[in-house]
Amino acid sequence: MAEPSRARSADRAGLVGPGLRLARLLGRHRQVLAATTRVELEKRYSGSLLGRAWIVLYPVLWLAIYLFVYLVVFKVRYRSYSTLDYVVYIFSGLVPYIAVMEAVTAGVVSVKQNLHLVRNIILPVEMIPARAVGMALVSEVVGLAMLLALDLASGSGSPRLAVLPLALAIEATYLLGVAMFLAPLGVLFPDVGYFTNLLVLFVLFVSPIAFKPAALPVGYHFIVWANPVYYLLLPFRLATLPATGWDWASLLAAGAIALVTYFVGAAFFARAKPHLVDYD
Amino acid sequence: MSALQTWPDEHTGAGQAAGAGSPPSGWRSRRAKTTTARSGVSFHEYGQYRELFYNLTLRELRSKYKRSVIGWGWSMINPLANMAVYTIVFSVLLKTTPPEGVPSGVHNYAIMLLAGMLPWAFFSGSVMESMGSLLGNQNLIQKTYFPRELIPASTVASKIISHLIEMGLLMVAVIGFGNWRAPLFIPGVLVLMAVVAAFALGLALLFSIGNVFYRDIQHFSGILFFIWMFLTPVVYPFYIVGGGLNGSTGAFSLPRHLGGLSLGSVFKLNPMTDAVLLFQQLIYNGSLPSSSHVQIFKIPVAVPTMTFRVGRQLKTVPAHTVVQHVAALVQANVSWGDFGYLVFWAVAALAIGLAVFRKYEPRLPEEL
Repeated sequence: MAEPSRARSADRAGLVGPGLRLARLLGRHRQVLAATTRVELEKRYSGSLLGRAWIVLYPVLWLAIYLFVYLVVFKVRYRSYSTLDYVVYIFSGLVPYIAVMEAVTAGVVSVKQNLHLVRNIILPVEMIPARAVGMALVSEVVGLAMLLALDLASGSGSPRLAVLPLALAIEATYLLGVAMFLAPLGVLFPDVGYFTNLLVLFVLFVSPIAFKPAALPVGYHFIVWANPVYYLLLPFRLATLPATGWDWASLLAAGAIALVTYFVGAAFFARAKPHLVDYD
Repeated sequence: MSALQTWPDEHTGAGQAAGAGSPPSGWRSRRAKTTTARSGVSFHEYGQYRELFYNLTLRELRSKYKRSVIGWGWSMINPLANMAVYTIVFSVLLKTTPPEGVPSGVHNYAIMLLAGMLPWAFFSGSVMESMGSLLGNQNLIQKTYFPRELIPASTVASKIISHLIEMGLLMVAVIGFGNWRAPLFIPGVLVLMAVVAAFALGLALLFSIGNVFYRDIQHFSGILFFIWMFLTPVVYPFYIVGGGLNGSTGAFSLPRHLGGLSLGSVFKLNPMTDAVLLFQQLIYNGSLPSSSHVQIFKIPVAVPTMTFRVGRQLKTVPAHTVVQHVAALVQANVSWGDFGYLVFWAVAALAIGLAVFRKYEPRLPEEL
């Protein structure tokens, strides 16, 4: 089932086929995926001073930087938002973006650092980038729980919070596609890691996490429109900030971007997979 | 490792802590006198390991960009790309106004940013990269004896090399932007770089050995240094939080004065704030730190006459008969006292780092 598919070239053809096969593959191995993700997380937190507290502390530290830079240094205020609403606005952008950062930086080196597993015939290689995404998502779920608590405490909690799992599913699909796309690149081009690290930092700043898209100077709005992360954040904002009007378009846009990214990533991975085996 | 191969490969381990191999011949007698139970060397004996230190540093430099297409170019591209990111975000999008350099007249966000960001990147990069260095050199540590301080120190040394190149290029750029005084401050910049390097080495020693015992130190240092960077006026000018040069008040509307302490003074408790301000003072402003927080510059007199108060009388005299220049009072951001504070931190960090490292060093081979 999982031997390197050099012979079965049909596996690699097409755009939709590999995506569907990947979904079936991950579904079949979901228990192994969950177990390896858990083991990796245990490994990350084992022997550490603060242990699993980091999983909570990490988003809190990010929130602290953002509040400091935007509220103290740049004194950003939005008339339509109270300070607490603004904190929710930042956090609902930050928690998903931390997962993006984690999935991208871990995804790009995931296969490279586990080249010995590429020839593994028991488990398919696809599991390695998927595991990187899985780890990012576990941290994100913890962050979302904190966001939920903050949202309810700030009084802006509403039935719309039910959208949150959908928003997470859309992001997971997107990240899976990104990780599948980047992992082979990370093996074939060692410089990709440097580049993605910079890109992630850049997108962190230009994504409307703490500012509203309208706050950009005239002529720079394309920075938001051209940024896929902007669309991925919309469903999270929809769920946590009822002050923003309900809008199907943002859900559809996010879903479409996620699906396209997923299928492109899966197709790319399927094409690159035979080369990864050669590279070892 | 050529330096290691020249040494006799004997493992007597006499009178040494667990796991430590043997020092080069002609060594044991002296070691026995200076250190007994501890496996650290006395300070003057570090000199004996010069060649090893040199080779470790060289290896560090060579391996850093191994197998990368652009290779060494990354050491230049990385700061430039970071500069582009921060300039686009903070200067273009967030419209941060850089201060005007007094007296250099330089008025450019990217230059202000680089004057603080290059030393910051050197500092944080040195500490973060040395954190994993002991784990990365596990084999070397378990197989041979040498002062393990050399491993984090060689990482810092390799960063110093690339930092020197970056700062040299920055100096050229600053002159291009109109600060012709910049070359005069090169000795000052070098002294400052040495102080920051000492501070970085102290923390590198402390955290590299700490990371062996608590592995999360390395894993989460990224976020901690990111926070630290934003608590240091690197990407935004200091006047936003602290007032001072080109901004009489800070932008912080909540109590700027906490029991007589201004927010700027609170920021300066962070030694890296002082370091960044000193670099900006030398490179961007083109001036030495002031002796107080008010700096006096001579500027040409714009009016032909001056009015004096003599007793109860006002006297008006032609300016050129009194002085050719008047002193302009400009509130400076950074003083010699701040420099002293930074030196204090650097010395303290180095002393504590070295003491802690030497204390736990004997446990290294088994811990790894």
